Amino acid sequence: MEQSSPMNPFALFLLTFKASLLSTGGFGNIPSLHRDLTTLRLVNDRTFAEAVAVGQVSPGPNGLWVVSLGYLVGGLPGALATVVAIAFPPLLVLVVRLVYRRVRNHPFVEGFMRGLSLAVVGIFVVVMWKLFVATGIDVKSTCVLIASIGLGLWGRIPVVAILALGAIAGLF
Amino acid sequence: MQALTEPPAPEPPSAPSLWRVFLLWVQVGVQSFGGGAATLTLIRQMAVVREEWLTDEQFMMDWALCQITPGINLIAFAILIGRRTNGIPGALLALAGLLVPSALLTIGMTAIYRQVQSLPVTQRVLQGLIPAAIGLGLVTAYNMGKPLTQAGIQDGWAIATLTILLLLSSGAVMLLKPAPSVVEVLAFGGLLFALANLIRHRWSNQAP
Repeated sequence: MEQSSPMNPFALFLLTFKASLLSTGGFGNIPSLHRDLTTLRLVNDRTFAEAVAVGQVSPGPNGLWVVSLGYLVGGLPGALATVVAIAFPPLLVLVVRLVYRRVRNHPFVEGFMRGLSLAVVGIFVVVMWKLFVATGIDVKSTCVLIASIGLGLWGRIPVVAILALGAIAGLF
Repeated sequence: MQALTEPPAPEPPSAPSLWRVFLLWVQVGVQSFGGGAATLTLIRQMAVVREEWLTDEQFMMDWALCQITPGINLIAFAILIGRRTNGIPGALLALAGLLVPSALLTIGMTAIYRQVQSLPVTQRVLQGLIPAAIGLGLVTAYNMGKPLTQAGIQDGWAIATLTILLLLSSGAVMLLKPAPSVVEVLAFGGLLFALANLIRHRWSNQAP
């Protein structure tokens, strides 16, 4: 649990907005937010991991984990700040739609998008690793991690069932 | 006014009411867990099969656009589909319907979590839940990285090597202390591949 006082909702809005604007996908903003919030010591890896886990268990599109994070570090105002921050970047799809037809085949745009996405994936894996380390590595957590990767790749079992299995494994 | 005298145009089925758009997206929001393929299937069932708002081809094209849009892909997808049926008001209501109720549920779940956080049983559940969530996160990373890597391999050994190097190094530099800022690393990756792609195109245009 964070001992520090609740975070200023406006600062949380700005950091979340920046991270979401410069990334794509519900988890694309993890690297930037993780770095900003842990460097400023506003959140530790453990709380960050809890937010991702609670966010995954809650209904809604991928990416609402940020709302859990907002609640854990800033209470209700913090959570609402993150909701507003994640509402705006996807609206850019209306602009993307107009621009994309013209520039999609330009080598610079094509290459830039690909390089950016590759860097997101590379950083993402390291952040996930840091969060895993923060929960404490033992035989059980390692087995659950490997099993959830395997089941996730297999793709026949709903995500929520995999999470439930993980939670049950934690009990024993 | 002029529409009264025109013959019925062969346009898609008449626009649904804004309230209906909102409600349908609320349903998608609260029924989806972890996004991904299950949610896409849910949306396809609603928008393509049941409501006939768009064709399968338009569905895939819209989804592809959402992959390169900032922020949550599913929200961008709802915005595009909402725009197709009801213009900008439809886009905004689809956004609100997908985001607001599920965000409130997430806040509720987190508030409950806060209450039970210090119980031993909660801590035990988390010891299993967090690794499972992280494992699924890594699967997401794999699914994001796979098509990019395949595209790199198709573009020849130079781009393939660059792809692997960027994947490894962008992660590795984040382990440095102090780590560089994420935006710097992303910009570096983007510019590197933009230049590499320009060079590749120039080179392949000159090749016989």
